[in-house]
Amino acid sequence: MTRTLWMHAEPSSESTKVRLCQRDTLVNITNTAVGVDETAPNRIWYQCGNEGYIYSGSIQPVRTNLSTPRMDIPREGLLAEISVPYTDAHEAPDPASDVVYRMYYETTHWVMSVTSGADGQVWYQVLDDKWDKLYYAPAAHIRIITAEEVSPISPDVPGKDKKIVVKLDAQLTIAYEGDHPVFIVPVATGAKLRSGTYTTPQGDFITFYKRPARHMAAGDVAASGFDLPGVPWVQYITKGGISFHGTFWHNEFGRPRSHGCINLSTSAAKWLYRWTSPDVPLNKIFSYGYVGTKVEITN
Amino acid sequence: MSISQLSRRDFLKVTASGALGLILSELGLDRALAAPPTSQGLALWSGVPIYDAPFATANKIELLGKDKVVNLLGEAQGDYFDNPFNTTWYQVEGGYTYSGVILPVETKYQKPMYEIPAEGQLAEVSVPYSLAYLAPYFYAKTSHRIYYETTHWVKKVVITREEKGVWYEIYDRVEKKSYYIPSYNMRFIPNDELTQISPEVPNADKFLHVDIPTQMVTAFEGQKMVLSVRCASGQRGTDTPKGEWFTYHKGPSIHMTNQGDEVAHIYNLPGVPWCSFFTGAGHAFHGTYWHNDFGRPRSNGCVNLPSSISKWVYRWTSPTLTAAQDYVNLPGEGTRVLVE
Repeated sequence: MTRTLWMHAEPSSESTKVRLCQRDTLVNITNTAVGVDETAPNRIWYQCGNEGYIYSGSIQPVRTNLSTPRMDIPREGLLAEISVPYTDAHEAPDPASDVVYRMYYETTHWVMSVTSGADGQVWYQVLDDKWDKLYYAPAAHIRIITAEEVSPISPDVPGKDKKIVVKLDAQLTIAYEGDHPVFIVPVATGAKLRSGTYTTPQGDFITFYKRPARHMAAGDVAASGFDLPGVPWVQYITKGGISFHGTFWHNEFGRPRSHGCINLSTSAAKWLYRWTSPDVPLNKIFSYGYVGTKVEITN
Repeated sequence: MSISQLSRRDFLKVTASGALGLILSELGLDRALAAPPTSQGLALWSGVPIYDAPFATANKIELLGKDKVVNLLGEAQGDYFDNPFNTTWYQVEGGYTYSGVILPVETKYQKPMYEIPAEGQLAEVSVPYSLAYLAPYFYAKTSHRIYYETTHWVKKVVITREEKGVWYEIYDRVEKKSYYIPSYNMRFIPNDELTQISPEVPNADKFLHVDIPTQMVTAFEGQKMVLSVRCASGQRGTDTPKGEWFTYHKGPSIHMTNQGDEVAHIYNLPGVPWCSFFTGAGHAFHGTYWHNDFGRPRSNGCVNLPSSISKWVYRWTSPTLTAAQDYVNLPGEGTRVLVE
């Protein structure tokens, strides 16, 4: 749940409200259903057993997988992702200590060291890459990413033959190898929001700057700003910060709703991240340069 | 300004300006450029040449790889290679390509559809081609490519939880296998595109004539000619059988294959659109996505037509299929066909 919302009796916002779900409530998704409103850009609803239906755009599909802590954390840290719906970043390895922020499923973070907590459990020390601070979270909630799962996709295709096309009016991202489309997914690009116009720029770009995790924040959080720790699989295409990345704060693709970035589902963002150049070796914080995969953003 | 001083870029610049007529007459190229049939073309072979003029003797500038999609800027008449009835060339950026090996295509991404009838839904590819996946997941292995305007029977809409992808499960009756297509690449055929054309004309007054020597397919309603197009009929060895026939069995999407037949060369064509069969041996009028070379015999017996024309023939002839039917076989019925 990425915000407070109602569970309905039917897959329609017009139907009877069954239950008010607070932000971060967990519900069991038992099936997908199709919304009654035929004009909606996203008609997917999730069925929650016999209880009711909930609109998918504000539900993040999650799993709960507890991980076995690793003790061999090198000095430069290891890339990891949250493997439970959410876990809190604490000031100290102690469940009673202050909570700094919440880290959500499949967000990526740097694990810098391992320690035992006040509760007798293993905790990881996690780096905030924006403010350069260290926080703590239970190690069982965090899974270390292996080199295999970030290995390049289609490394045999020369970099110059790869191209990403973003179609703003169709809200689609398509990856081409030569002239052959190999990947097509729905996205959410920059929108006209109440606070201003953040339309994604059109033109030709390259993925010159990639990092597997980024704490993104801008503006005043109280007024259409954002503060998003651990945004996964980020590929910047402009120095102003426009990027492709995974999305944990919404699940609504097919209509513009971002602050300019190209939001993808986390699994799609990861595929694209693995497919583009430059390669970022596992446990390298970023790759930055004058090379990258071509990106064409058109209407 | 003499032609020898013109670089290709200048030529294109001049072409875009009003001086076109003058320059073309100097070059001997003063033929009217017609509008292209579609905005894009797909190279059907590996190594389709772009020439600097619509002539077989012109210079080859560049070769297009298989399935390369180029913008079509115009249509010109020029030389032919094997087919004197097809002198059409397409103007593309940088030159001309012979039309026979270019499939006219469009790229029209679709909004996902979520509901389909229990018996399935007919859909066509609305982009130059789409990959067919073995599972509804973008990490899944891909199988073959399905091409523009080919038709497929969607059995199921699959919504994936993590990726938030919408996929169509298409079923291949020959392979008895399902494939998954990204929904953005396929258009559902609305029911009003399946209704009969000229239903007021009695079936006895409808008549399709196939003239093998000129490769003409002509449709008559009584004495009135309502369609006249070139086709590609059976080549030597697999000639289209002459005689009087009736379009008694039809299907909007057929996987045509002769696998196992060692006599004819092997073909395996999934999703052949708009098939109106007139013999029990599988001879049909149908759409064509593997060539665009109408006017000479080159098929394995069928009467190949452009897909849009075959759709017209399919809708015009009887019997008429409903949206729920993927095949009907009604011996003794059908619209009269004469092949001679």
